[in-house]
Amino acid sequence: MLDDALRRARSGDESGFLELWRALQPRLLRYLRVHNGEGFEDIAAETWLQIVRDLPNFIGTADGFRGWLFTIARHRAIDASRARATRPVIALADVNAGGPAASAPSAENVAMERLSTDQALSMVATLPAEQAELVALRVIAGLDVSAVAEMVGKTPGAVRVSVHRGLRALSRDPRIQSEVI
Amino acid sequence: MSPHDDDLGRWQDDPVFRALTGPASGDELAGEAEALAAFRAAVPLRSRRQYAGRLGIGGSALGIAIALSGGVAAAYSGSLPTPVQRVTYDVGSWAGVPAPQHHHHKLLVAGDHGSSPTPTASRSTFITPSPHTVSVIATLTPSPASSWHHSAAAGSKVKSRSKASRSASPTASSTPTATPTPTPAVTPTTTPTPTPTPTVTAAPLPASITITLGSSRVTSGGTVSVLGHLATSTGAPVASTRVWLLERITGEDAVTQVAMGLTGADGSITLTSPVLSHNARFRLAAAHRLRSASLGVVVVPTVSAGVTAQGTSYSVRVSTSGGNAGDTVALEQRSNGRWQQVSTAALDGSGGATFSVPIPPKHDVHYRVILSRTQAHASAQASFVAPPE
Repeated sequence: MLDDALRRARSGDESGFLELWRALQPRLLRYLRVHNGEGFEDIAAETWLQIVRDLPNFIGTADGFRGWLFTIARHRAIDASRARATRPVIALADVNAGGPAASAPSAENVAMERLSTDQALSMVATLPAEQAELVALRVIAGLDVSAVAEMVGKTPGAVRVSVHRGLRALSRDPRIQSEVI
Repeated sequence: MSPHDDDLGRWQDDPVFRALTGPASGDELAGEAEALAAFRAAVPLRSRRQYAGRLGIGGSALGIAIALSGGVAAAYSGSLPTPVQRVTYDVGSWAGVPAPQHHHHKLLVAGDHGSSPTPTASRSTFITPSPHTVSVIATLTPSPASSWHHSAAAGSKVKSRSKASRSASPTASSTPTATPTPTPAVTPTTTPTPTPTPTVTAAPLPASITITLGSSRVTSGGTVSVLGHLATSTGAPVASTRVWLLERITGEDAVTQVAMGLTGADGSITLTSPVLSHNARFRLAAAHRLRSASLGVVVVPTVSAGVTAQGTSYSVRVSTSGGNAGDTVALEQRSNGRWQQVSTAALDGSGGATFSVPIPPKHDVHYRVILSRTQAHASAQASFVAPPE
């Protein structure tokens, strides 16, 4: 489905690019939240900047594009983690934090719609780091087993087992019970 | 490839799996315009780069400008020479690179001082410079060398054409102040009216929020205290910051903001839930998209039984507080040390039910009524004794 969008995007067609972006950006953000947590939106933006820059040189299918996107994101996330550890940054207060209370409900209502996924992402992040990433790449990013295995340097069998164990652990989490808030 | 092919089929109905792969929210797609702008900007840039390549000049500098990562670019763009920074702005505004200004400062103020009467939530990702926006980010380590930090090319399938080059070093005229100034005088080159006079508050950035419930079970009609703590990434408390209490009634999709308050000097806050008559989950929320874990509170109904003799039997009237019409109530009799179910009934509209038990001939008979657990509440019970005639 995305192959045509990819072809059009490579030729400079905006609608093709937007189709790719809309399909993959939510998954990219979720993956980066599990991987990095802090600064995930910045990393996603950087990833797309590299994508749009190098898109004309990309050769492959939509599946390959997905793998390329998440490979870039993963490397940038790792870089960001390292940089954060060595480069302290003073951030300013949220410009909205001190705003009038009357403006809060609408913003919060938007956030509330995200709670279910937020909770699930938080749970994934509680898995061992390596397993959490495999689950994120396999389930959230939607990469197939072989692509994930190649990306992280493991065998497909090891990826498959680890992902299933991770999902099983999540499904048995007492916080889940019958549903995810 | 289906995103969830082969061995993941069995997880399709798993709640976590569903949540992870759920549809995109508007929030997740909020950056579409900026993404499209970056795509548009990349097209002419590519053309320019190819042209420069044919001429044998400038290609590397352009490549560097684009390759700056968003956070790094935003924090360090003041170190860029103006021409490079301007090129960066063409494409990199999407990643948070402010427009070049005559006065370079290490501190930039994020805030809308223009026409928007109601500032929207801050998004650190895309600080798009505009005549109405002045962006300020403070950083502690203004190392010019690290301004040119370039992530290793990750796309193995792509021919990398942009390499970091230190030849494009900042010129003397654009060398930024090495030491961050706490009270910068920011003067945008394209000054809108009114002239912004930002107040920089280097407030600690909350990084985590925890939640603790005063109790995980509450009697129907009661409330529960919700304790929270807001802290920075180093564990330091974050004071005087708004925290919201969000509630989701079990079985419903809607989440409601039910209380709000400010953290104290130690970063803690205590909020009180509304009166509870239904199981619910609570979560604390704060700025910077901080969300605590969600914790459930189970509502425990109260059950009482009144016994009235009516001829050769007792009429047992069961009353509940917190039970709902249609809920099942079971009547059990103790016999030989074991409880045996005698009858069941459904609660009526008033939350009550009526049973009839025989008056025992000689000895007391022990009974109990049990209101079954539902999605709305826990189970509850009451005992009574039917005395002989």
